[in-house]
Amino acid sequence: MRKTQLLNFLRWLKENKKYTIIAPFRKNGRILLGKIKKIKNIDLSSRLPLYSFKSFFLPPSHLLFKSEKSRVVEAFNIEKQVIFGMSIFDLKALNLWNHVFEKDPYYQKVLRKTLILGQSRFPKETPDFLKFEEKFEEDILEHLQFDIFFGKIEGKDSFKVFTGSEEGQKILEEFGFKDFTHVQFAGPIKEEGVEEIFKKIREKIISSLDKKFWEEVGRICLACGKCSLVCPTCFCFDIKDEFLEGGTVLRKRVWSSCFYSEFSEIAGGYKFLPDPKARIQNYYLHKFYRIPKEFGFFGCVLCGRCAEVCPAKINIFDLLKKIQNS
Amino acid sequence: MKNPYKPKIGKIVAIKKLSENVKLFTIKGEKISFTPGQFVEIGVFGFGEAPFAICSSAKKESKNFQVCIRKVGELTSKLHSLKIGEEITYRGPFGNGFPEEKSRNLILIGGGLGIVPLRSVILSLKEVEKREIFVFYCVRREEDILFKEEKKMWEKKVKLFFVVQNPRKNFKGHRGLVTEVLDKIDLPKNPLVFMCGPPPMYRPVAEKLKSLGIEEKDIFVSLERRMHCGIGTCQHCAIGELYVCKDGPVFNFAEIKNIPGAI
Repeated sequence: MRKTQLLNFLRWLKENKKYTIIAPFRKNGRILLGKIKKIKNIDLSSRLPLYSFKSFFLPPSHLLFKSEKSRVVEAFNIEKQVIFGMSIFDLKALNLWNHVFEKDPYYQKVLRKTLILGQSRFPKETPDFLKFEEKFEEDILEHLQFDIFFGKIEGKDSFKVFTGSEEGQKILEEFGFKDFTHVQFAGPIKEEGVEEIFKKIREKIISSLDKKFWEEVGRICLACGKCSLVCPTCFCFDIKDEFLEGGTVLRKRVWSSCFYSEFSEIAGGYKFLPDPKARIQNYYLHKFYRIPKEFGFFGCVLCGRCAEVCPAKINIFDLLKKIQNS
Repeated sequence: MKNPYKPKIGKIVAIKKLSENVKLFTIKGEKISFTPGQFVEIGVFGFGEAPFAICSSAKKESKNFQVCIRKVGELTSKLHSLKIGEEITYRGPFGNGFPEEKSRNLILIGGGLGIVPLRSVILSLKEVEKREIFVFYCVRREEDILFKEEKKMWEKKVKLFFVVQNPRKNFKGHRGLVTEVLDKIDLPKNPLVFMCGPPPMYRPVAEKLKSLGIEEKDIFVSLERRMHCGIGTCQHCAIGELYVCKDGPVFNFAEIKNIPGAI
């Protein structure tokens, strides 16, 4: 599919199919994400946006219920949306969310109303291209859930198109595009199992906790929670109430962060995660220990966003090396 | 799809003041069946929700259940201000509860407000128990003892020991810490131990019990954590690879003793 055709497809989804379009766009040299007014502003570079796509799957604050005179009223609604430009990292993170929120009626409602369009770069078309395509399908795309995936061919203004759902196929056909390859989802884990590096980290992380490098990390970590904010897999939340004038109360689910001081606080003021060291350890334990136990794969997609935003320059790749070598 | 966040509405049908800042609430809602040690998320619209152990009898499925609430924060202050007939929200029961063992001897050790879930174990016992059940109820001061008027009723089924850390001069029960008292008492043979109290109590008491010949696998502790969802998603109550709300709140001591930060 040529670039102009892709833009036309997105325009058609917006204008004819009445989807809200969420996509990356460029602003002040950064790739940001948001609702798109003009299709031509969409960034098609496949560069990773600074923020993840998670706020479009579960908003930072959303309504669970309204209370009206001792009645509990369900009141959660979203518009139908196209989320365009999800990278392989972000789609891997979505695998996790699909598991975590498998029985969550709010998340499931969002999924039903969302068309997921992924994008990634492809190497140049060479004689080896077909081989690469096969491997890409087998090793990567088969293990991701999406409706349509656009592989941008390097050096060309065109995309190789894959579908991952019936809905994706239908909508492309309705638009009038048929040159796609369908990929059957084969579960989040590759046939050969999870990567060795992750197995090693899981094995080592508990015994690493009293090692010196954690002291240093705990000393420099500001517990600001920026890493958890940009992390595509982080999903902690609070349930909070909000009063409206007239007596109605909104019960909301609001993003939280395990770095916040009150996150582990119980009645009387005791905190089970008392300092930045305990909090950052909990953050790593969640991704590399708890999630693997729950779902069989890892809670980090190695996108590096946390390292990019950390004001204390804590780098997840360095830290993972230290855990491995501990 | 079932909505795990949707609360039920419960009506307060009785309130009893148990101490200066602790009240026992009887709540009438939909039919509830639970295991002692399980908890409910109790809320008041506008004040949020928090987890509380159910402390009534689990013997019969009933529309009524009881929770014991200490006034410490915003929600519990609001709950304390409510009157009979007013409404609360509740979700649950959640968690696993104490193991249901009907023939083994039991030792229950409650520290402070930790007696609350153990009361549910006591009230759920059969009319006639053919086994030995010892209850150690440990508090700092005599004034902290809750459910005083239930003493006689409890003593029909269990042997009750009050352990007071700083009692008045004429106090007739045991003085000091439960670790000291356990040494002086001939404990039931081959018991299961259920413990609930402040976390610093767990390790020394478990060590003491082990020195008295009780195996680690027979010691169970109940943990307290901040919880928002109650179903193992929100992450507030995580310990190691476990969730207190879903995998607990009752854990085998051996299972959690090495988890950093668990106790």
